[in-house]
Parts: sequence; C-alpha cells; structure tokens
Amino acid sequence: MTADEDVLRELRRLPALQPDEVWADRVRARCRAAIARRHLQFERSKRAPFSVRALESALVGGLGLIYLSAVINDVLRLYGIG
Amino acid sequence: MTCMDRDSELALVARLRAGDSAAFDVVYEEFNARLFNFLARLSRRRDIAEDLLEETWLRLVGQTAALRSDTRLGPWLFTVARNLYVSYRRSRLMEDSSAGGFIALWAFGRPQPSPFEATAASEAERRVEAVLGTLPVAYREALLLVGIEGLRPAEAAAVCRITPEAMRQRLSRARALMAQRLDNMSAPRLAALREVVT
Repeated sequence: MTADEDVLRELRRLPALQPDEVWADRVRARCRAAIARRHLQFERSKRAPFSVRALESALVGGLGLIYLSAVINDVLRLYGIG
Repeated sequence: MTCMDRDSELALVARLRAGDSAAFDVVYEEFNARLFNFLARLSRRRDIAEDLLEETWLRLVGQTAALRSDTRLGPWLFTVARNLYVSYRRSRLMEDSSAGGFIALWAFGRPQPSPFEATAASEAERRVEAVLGTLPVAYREALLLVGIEGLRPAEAAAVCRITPEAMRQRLSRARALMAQRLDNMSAPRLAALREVVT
C-alpha cells in the first residue's frame, strides 16, 4: 500500500494551476479601485468638520424618532388606546 | 506555502486597514495563485474558481477597515474562499465527482520537460488529480489546505470550522483513502506489465 507520506509528497508535486492573467489583472485593478474609493471616503469623512458630522447624526436621529413615534401612534390607534 | 513572516504580515494588515492599495498588491501576489489552486481543485472548474476567487478578494477589500490587527491573512482568505465554495455548492447542488474535466485545469507555459519525463510526470499527476477529484469534499479540502497549501492542522481546522482533533482524524482518513485509491488505480497497470514481462 502507498504510505501516507507518499500521498502528501505526490500532492506537493502537483503542478501549480495559474489563473488567467487578463482575469487576474482585471480583478486586481477592480480591487485597487475599490480600496482607493473607500480610502477617499474615509479621508473625506475625517476631514468633515465636527458641526457637519453632528448635524448628520442629528438629522438621522430625528428622522428615526419621527418614524418611531408614527409607528407607536398607529399601534395605539389600532388598539383603540390613542 | 507562505514565505511571509509574522512581522511582515502584521505590518501588511496594518497597511491594509489604513487603505494602502500597495499593501493589497503584496497580499494579492502572495495569495492569488494559492487561492486559485485551492478553489480550482476543490470545485474542479476553472470558471467557478475564478468567480469565487474574485468574490474572495472583493470580500477582503470590503472588510479591510474591519480586519483585526492580529489577523492571519492566509487562514482568513482560505476561510472566506472555502465558505464561498460551500455556499456555491449548496446553492447549485453541484455534482461532486466530476473528475472528467480536470485536465482543463492545468496550467499552460510551464517549463518544458523531455517527452518521456512529460509523459511519465503527466501520467502520475493525472492519476493523483483524478484520485483527488474522487475524494469527498471534506477530505479533499483537508488535503489541499494541509498537504498542498502548508497550513498547520490547527489553522486548517479553523478554516473548516472543526476542532483540531477532528481535522487530524479527517486528514488521516483522507490520506489513507487516497493511498488506497492510488493503489487500486495502479494495480491493473502492474498486472499488465507483469504479463508483458512473462
């Protein structure tokens, strides 16, 4: 019987498979572009003044509150409480 | 097997987290072919391997900022690639034992050996590829990760989401099954040779 170690040796001897070069370059370029885009967004968000970031948070929070109060209002109305 | 030492790896992770695309290039150079080999031999299809590999890289790019500073890139990438393959397989109920088309996996442009060496080598390689393709996926992935990619059994266990002990058992069974099937494949040829000699 072939020894276990022989199996590993034969596996390591298998030729390396190569992905298509054009495909590999295209994927690399796509990923690089995505990284650059994310980095730019991150830098922009870091550069935005505190007041802008606070305003954004307040706006999102406010809209969330309005939505939540509307939901609660509807639920109360459905149960005849409101 | 990776040539990257731990300090270089940690530095690369830090650069990736900071959005350094040159660091991505280094990681891509280091792992692209290895991941492709792993996925191609797991799926037995070049086109599927390429699709899953592209998705693996996009997952990395999408999560660079969220990477832990002590991330081990190899196991992280192999885990993503393996999970994508598992999802793909689940969704398509892919036929597992399609060893017929594996020759299309082989690379072009390798150094050219002599015709005799080429015949002998390719015969042996085809035999190993064919037997590898007949193994259950759980055994195949264990052999690919540890036997070919050089991951430690504990790392391979984490990639496959099993305990290190279970991985050791799986590896042992996989090697035994592969050895047995290689023997079975060789036996008729040896018998034929003996007939020719006698």
